[in-house]
Amino acid sequence: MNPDALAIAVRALALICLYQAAGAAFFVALFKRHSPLVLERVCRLGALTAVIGIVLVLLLPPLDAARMAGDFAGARDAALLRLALRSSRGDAHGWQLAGLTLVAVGLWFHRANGVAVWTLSIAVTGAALAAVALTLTGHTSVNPMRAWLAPLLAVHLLVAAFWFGALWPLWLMLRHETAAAAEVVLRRFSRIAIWLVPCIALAGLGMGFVLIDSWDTFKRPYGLILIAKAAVFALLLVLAALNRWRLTPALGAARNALRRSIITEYLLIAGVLAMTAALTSLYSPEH
Amino acid sequence: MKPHGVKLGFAALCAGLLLPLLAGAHAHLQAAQPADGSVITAAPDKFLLSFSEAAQLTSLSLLKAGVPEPQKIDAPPAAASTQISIAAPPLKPGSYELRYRVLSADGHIISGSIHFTIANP
Repeated sequence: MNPDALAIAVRALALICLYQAAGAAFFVALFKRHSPLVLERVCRLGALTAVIGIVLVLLLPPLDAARMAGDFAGARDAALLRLALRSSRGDAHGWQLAGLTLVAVGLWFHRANGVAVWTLSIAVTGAALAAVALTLTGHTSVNPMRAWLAPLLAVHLLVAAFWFGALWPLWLMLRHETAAAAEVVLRRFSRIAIWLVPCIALAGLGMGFVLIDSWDTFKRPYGLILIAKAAVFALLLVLAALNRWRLTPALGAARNALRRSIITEYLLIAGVLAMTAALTSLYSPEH
Repeated sequence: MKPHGVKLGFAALCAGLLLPLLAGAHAHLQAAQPADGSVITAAPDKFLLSFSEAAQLTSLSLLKAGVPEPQKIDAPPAAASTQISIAAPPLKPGSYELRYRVLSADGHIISGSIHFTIANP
């Protein structure tokens, strides 16, 4: 395995853990009153994925140094490691680590004492910082239209974290809560998601409008991965609509079907995050 | 969540939205000497790489056709620049692949290669 492939794999796993941890913090903040039986499990899930995310993010600077050298010996090269830490990507990793630490600490203490506001505030602050840290690096960070692109990317990332991170807790609710309690949370989640999720596409379209200046981009890897992301997103919207209008109203009989649908949604978004890891590691709109 | 908790959460989200504004291009190779695909009659005394944006060279190696292992070329540390010039080692006639890796301002690590041939004089 070459350093590029390993770096992409680790980055993909780190993104999945990061957005799961951030989304768990958002879920607890929004739905804790309606999900008493799974609150501790969701806090534990968020704290655990935050800790795994911290370990994975710590691996990224040595892997970036190895990529700079073109072989794994670069991971031990002090000059390349320094370069990796001082690059814009190093800045993003620093904010991701800070955010994930706050999520882990906040949710861990909130798990033990579910009424303390300060623990949840720490977790939500960390979740927001970790989720938007990617705006500090990559194509948008040096674009002359950064003042427009950065907020669009931040919205894109925050909503993605809210959506992806809520799916596992929703699955837990369907498993452990009563049908009535699960239905309340599912309906509330749908009411919020129906407004927020389109923001992912709108923000993505806005960024694409600025970043892509030629149809030829769609013939290159960057454009092809973007098309794949858009196709999976469309499929996710179909699943979300199925959950909202067919399965949730018939929750009593469709509980297992809804759980399977949520697992499918989760795996599809994890796939999109893996594609994002490849997109942000290897390609740019220009080539 | 209690009312002041909502305020704290809102402040946290605002912090998240403002973070991107705290930060400071993706470089790609525009030209090279020797040029990609070129056939030259004299061995070059230096390699010149021109990028669209400032980039920092992190690795350079030269692979001669028929030789299994590439030769690593040590480049002195230098600040990011659109023009990267490195002294070439003495080269004999043959086909070569110059492999480079650079770090661009947006944090991307870009790799590529240039093929050239030194013909017999």
